Formats: sequence, C-alpha cells, structure tokens
Amino acid sequence: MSMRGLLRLLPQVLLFDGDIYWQVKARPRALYHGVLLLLLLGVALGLAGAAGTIVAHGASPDPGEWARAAERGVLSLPIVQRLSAAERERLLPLLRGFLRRPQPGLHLLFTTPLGLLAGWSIYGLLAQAAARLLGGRGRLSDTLACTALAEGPRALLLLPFLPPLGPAALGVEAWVLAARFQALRAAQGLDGWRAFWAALTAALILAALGLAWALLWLWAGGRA
Amino acid sequence: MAAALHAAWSALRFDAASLQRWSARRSALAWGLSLLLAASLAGGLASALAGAQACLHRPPPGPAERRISATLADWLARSPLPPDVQHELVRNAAAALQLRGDLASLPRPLGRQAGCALEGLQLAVAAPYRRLALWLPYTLASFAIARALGSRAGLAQTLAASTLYALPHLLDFLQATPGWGAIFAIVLSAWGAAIYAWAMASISGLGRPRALIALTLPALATATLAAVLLAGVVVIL
Repeated sequence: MSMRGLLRLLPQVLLFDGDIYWQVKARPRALYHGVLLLLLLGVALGLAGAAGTIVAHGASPDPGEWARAAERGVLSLPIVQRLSAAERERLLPLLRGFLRRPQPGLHLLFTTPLGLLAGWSIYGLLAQAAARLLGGRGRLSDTLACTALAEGPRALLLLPFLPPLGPAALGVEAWVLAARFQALRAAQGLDGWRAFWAALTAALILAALGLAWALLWLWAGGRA
Repeated sequence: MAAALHAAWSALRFDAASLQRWSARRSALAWGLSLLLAASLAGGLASALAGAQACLHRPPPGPAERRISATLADWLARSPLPPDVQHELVRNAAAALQLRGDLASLPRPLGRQAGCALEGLQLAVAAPYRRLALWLPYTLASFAIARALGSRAGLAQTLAASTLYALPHLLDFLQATPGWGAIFAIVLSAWGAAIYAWAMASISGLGRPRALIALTLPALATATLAAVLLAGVVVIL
C-alpha cells in the first residue's frame, strides 16, 4: 500500500469503516507508511496551529499584558485571598504557567509532529500491552500501523482560523478513540468488548500521563 | 440526496421503519455529519454576528456584572446552601465577572473593530467542534451501554441515526431574534432531544426501559461528577 493509498483511506476512517484496518494489517511496509502519514499530518497541523495563533494574536489583547491583568485578577479573588501566603506562593508558578498564552511562532511546526508521534507511540505500546493481557494475538508493528491510521480524525483540526479549542477538542479526541478501538480490534483480532477495554485502558493511562506532564510543564513554565 | 431528505422527513414524523432502512445505508453517516456541520454553522454564524456586535458595543464593566451577581444571589437564596456559602459564592462570582470584563476591555493589536470581527470569525469556525464535543462522546457512551444491554446496532448506523437530532438546530439562527432567543433555544433543544431519544431507542432495538437506561446513564454519570465537583467547591468555601 502506497502513501497515497493510505491517504485515500482517511475518509473511511472518518466514517468508522472498521474493515480498512484489516487491509492495512495485510499490506507490507504498513508501519513505515503510517509513520509518514503521521509526520505529514503533524506538519500540516503545526502549520494550521501557527496560522491560528497568528490570527488569535491579532484578535486578542497583548499576551503579556493579558497574563499580568489575569494574574492580578485571579490573586484578588476572595477564594484565593483566603489562602495563606505560603499557599499562594506555591500556587503562583502553576497559575503563571496556566495564564501564559501561546505566542505566534513557527515552533509549532516542530512541536506538533513530535507531540503527535510521541502520543501515538506511547498509546501504541500501552494498547499492545493491554490487548496482550486481554488475549490479543497481533504484533506490535500491526498495532502501531493500525493506530497510526486511527489518528486520521485529527485532520479535522486543519483549519487555519481555528482558535484554541479547549474542551471543544473533546469531540475530535472521542473520534480518535473510537477509531483506535476499531484499529485495535483488527490489529489484535479481539472481540468488541476486549478491544473496547484495551483501547479505553490505554487511553486512560495516556490521559493521566498527559495530565501529569501538562501540570509539570505549567509549573516549570510559571517558574521560568 | 432523495434518501437523505426522506430520512429527515421520517425523523420529523418519528417513523422508525424508515429510519432503520436509511441508517443501514453506507452514505447515511456522511450525510448525517454534513447535517451536523450545517446546523452548527447556521447557529454559529448567528452567534458569531451577535458576539462581534456585543464585542464592538460592549459597555464598560460594571452594571451588567452587578445584575448577573444579583440574579445569582436570588437564585442561591432559594437553594439549600448555608447563607455564608451563598455569600462566598456570590462574592467570588462577582470578582470573576469583574475580571472577565477587565480582560475583555484590554486593547487589541489590530484595533477593536478588526479584533472583534476576528473573534466573531473564530466563534463561527469553532461552532461545529463545540457541537461535536457534546454529540460524539455522549453518543459513543450511550452506544456502549446499549451494546452492553443487548443492542445489535452497529457503530456507524447508531451515529448516523443520532445525527438527525440536528434537524431542528438548522433553525438555530432564530435564537438571534430579539426577545425570543431564550424561547427558541428551549423549543429547538427540546425538539432535538426528542428526536435524539427516539432515534437512539429505535436504532438500538431495545425495549423502552433498557433504551432509557442507555440514554440517561451518561447524563446521570456527568451530573454526579458535576455534583461531586460542586460539593468540593462548597467544602473549600
């Protein structure tokens, strides 16, 4: 299956056609093409993200001024005022990291594909382990190739004027999770419920790791 | 296209047999997703115009925030929360509203007009994602519960049937009608929810009690989580 062939499968991924993952599994060099697809998607998402932050920068107040005003306002909230000085001191780095707004820049061109590849590979490893525990018979390369295609719904985020979505990104994440469930079912030859638990367990562990990473990043960013 | 229009008409008449025939077609989900997009953009464009208008003519922070705080205080007075907790909630909400107003009135690099227009455009572009974030996780959760309860419906078929709830939301632009916005919002949401419940129950093939469990369990779980979080806030206050 060529790269172009893999791209042609994207609409079917979006329409939850579970049969395509069997086709991917049966083809040679599926993992190589899957990684290329992810890199392409990551660069495209990075470009769209960079354009989005430029538009958001024009539409919104100066990020530095906004962050300073927001910090002053949050610290003057009655609920925060009730904290002791030491507790407020501990809260400050996290708050500063949280209030920091994205600066327009091309760094997204590098960080987005790397983040996508890291998320996919960690999810793939976790899902492989969970599926094996539940009786899966597929190889790691099958899991990685099929779950690479399951990242396809992220192409929905390829809109240049898209603002940071926040909780509204949950729909795309749910779409990817449902596609990953179908991918695991084919890659591991599992029945529906076992594939469901394998996909969900790996997603929950990845979400917990992601949350811990985000908190650490916010804390470190706030102290910088 | 004719089949899709027939499906839309059958949903408006709550005709289960037509719904099942249509949702089994391969093109049903693609059509349903297009319907979701159209409904989101119809409502999103109207709210983007209203948002840009409000941004341009935003009054200085003060009276509107005080009015919202007073409404919240009235509402909380009828709740079983202790008076000191009510007072703290109102004080924090007033401070948060003041902060929101202050942040919104900061100067923008491209000027107020261009900034507000861009903000409106971003609001319209994000509208389909907001609808997706509500519809897809909820429907996937309902689908999983329905399967656990014995439904034989497929994923694509269930998702296609559930998209028909967006039909009334094609009229979401009516919410921009001055004075009638809240009434249209309630009527269109209730109509959409009725179509959703009917479509999910019909497609799952479960009896009424089981279909009700599959439909309400995700909402109950979400409400429980929200109640736990609220209780946590009350304890902190």
